[in-house]
Amino acid sequence: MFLATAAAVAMAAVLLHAAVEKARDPGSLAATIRALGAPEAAARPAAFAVTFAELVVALAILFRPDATATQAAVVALAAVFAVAGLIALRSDEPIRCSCFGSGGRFLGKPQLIAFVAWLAGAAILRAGISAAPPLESGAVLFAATSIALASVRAVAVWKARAAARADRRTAQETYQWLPSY
Amino acid sequence: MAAIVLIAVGALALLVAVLLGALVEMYRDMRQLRDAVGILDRPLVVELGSVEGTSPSEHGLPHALDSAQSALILFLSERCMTCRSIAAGLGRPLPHGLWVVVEASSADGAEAFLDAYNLRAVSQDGRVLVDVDGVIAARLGLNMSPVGFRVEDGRITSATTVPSSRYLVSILPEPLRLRSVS
Repeated sequence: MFLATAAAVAMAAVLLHAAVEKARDPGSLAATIRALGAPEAAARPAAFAVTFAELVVALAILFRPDATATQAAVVALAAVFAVAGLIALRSDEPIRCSCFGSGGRFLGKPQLIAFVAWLAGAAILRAGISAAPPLESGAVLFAATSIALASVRAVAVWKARAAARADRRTAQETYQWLPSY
Repeated sequence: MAAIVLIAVGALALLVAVLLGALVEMYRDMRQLRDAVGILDRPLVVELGSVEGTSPSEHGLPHALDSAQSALILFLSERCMTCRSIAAGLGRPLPHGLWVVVEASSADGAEAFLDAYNLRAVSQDGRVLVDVDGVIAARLGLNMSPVGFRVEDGRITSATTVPSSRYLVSILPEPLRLRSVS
């Protein structure tokens, strides 16, 4: 049970993180989908659909990990990612993943390897959780996971703020120097 | 009821995560803008000419520098605002391998500079020098500041402008350390 709960939280955290990053920058995922061969008009809606699906599957994992539909949705989503990886491997040019927002690595083998991991995760849910957990426990896991994601972001903001402050001081010094040279 | 509150907390935390991510993005944009306008650590190489390969003492600098394995001589002027910012940001005690030459038009001006940035206290070991009337700078042919001269094995090897404290920190000589033994 503990292993299954831990696996559920880990899977939900990854999907929530991915959904949050994609929601912040939907354009990069749309570009990836275009690069995979989707028509121009379909790229944006598809990007929205993938983001929404990740969010829904993450919530389903936290609230109804026992449901067959949840486990099937995990496998289906992972299969979509794996197919994207396969298409990218067959493509002449590398295609940005945009798995967690803009930038990042290229699509390919990692999505195929991740497919196995997602399958294993779904199997653990299937074997380890037989009954629906109470709504409260799902809510606790959701809140804890979301707060953890926000906390990680807060650390990143703090570092960026410190760097920006150093940049500002540097810029002030350089600006004072430039006219005198 | 508790479940609804927790779900609301989770949803708000996700929203906060999105907003914090946008903030990180904004910081990155700001850095790009600063870089694009060229006000971010853009040092210029100073051509040394005949000064290259000479020993520091030939130009009126301390003889101790002639035996320094690695050192940086930082020229600051009382007339330059960046020099003042860098002087204010210097570490106390001075970082390893850093020597500071304060150019001033008069002895009083130099004293005032040392006092203003508390450099007198860190000058006990002789690594803060005063160059009244720019005598040392003139021997080096130096007509700008702040500038850092790199000394390797007792010879002047290179020089760059020092546009900021951060750049200064990045070019300081690494202190020599014993290798760790298990």
